[in-house]
Amino acid sequence: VNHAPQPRRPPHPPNFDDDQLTTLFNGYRRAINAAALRPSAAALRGHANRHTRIRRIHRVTAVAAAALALAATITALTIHPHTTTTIPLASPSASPQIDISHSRPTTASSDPSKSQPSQGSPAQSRTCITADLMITLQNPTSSGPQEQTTLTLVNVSSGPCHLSGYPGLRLSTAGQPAMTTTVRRHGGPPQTVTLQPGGIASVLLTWNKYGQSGATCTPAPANLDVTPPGQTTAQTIPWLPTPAGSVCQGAISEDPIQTG
Amino acid sequence: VGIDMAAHGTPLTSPQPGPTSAGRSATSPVAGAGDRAADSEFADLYDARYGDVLAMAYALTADFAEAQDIAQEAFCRAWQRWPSIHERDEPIAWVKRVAANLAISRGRRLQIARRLRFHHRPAVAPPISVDHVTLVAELRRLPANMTRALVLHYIADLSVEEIADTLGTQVGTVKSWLHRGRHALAQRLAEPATPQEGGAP
Repeated sequence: VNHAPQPRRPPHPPNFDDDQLTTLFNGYRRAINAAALRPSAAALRGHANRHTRIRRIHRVTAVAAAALALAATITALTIHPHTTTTIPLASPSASPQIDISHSRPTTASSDPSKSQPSQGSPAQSRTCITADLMITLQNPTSSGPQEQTTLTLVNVSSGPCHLSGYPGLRLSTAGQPAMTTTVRRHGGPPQTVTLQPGGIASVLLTWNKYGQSGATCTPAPANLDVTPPGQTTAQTIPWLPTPAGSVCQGAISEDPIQTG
Repeated sequence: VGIDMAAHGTPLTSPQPGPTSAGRSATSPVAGAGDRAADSEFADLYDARYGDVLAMAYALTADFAEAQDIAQEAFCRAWQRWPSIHERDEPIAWVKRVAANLAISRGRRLQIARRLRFHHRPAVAPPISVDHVTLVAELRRLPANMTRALVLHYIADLSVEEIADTLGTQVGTVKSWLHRGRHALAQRLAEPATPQEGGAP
């Protein structure tokens, strides 16, 4: 433990005041609101109603089952003294401690020993399924006609999971004409990336935004379908607006999934 | 989808009094189901405020999937008691406080929503930015009481009195948590390169 006196921080950091805090919270709220896809109200109502009916039936059957189990136990003990009867009990689901404190992408290099998305030892985790992941696109960077961005995959499930290889990609337009996506996969050998809850993996995407004529290409993709390795379900996320989002011949290249 | 169920599916548990069970036995949930006006009032509230409840739950749990469960659970419970809730001045305040309790309490039970999510999983990922992921992560690193006070104040729009009531404490204590939490959060956010605290040798 370090007992040396710490330099005192100024009471109000010069570059982050209370107004900015309010702005950040409001921005966060708007972002979640804009992204808050949900079951329809009718589906939710129907589900709640169904659940109530099930609960009533359970209440009745639980009493009946308990009586039957008791009778069975008595019978078993009477006839076969060595038989035990197990009464299945519903147990509350585990609520594991969730710690995404190390998931900050901007400080991934600050302490490598603690970076949560760690490589190797997938033995304790399972393969990430599509629903485990929150997939987003970062802002693109360009150099000449070439455009580059990072696809970010955050583990939003409550347990660790691992990924290895390349996600499936498919660009699509909002309506007609349909477009074909050609994906080139390169980069080093894929490594297994284990993501703790809140851990982040990324995939580098590269494409050309200008065709032979020097203009952006059509059709402009509207969405990107991303299928994690080994999965059959895709997540659809909005693709980038033109000009950065122009993908000539629908040709896009991807590096393997890596940490951070 | 089968894997989903295996990984997360929770068996229906027999009803037990939970932290938010006040009024659970009060009303028959299906009572309002046939009523068109009740249907649309509920749908309006749900469509307009689901995002806010989700934002609050995500900030409290730092787990997006769980936050979805919590938000949906809170609205399911609201619908089950809709005849009594819709007469309140602010039904949404009830929903938010139920969701806050679900997010905070250790022994929470998401009996209804755990099943719902697997039938209605959103197909599109939320375009949440790195800034916002960072905000949630930093909130998670503050002392729990400060996080709760900040989230209920900034995201749930609850009054200091309502926060005190929800967290089971005094108004003065909430004000103190808010003051210190605001300060601590601003400091953390202003220093993007701060190494992880608590684990340094």
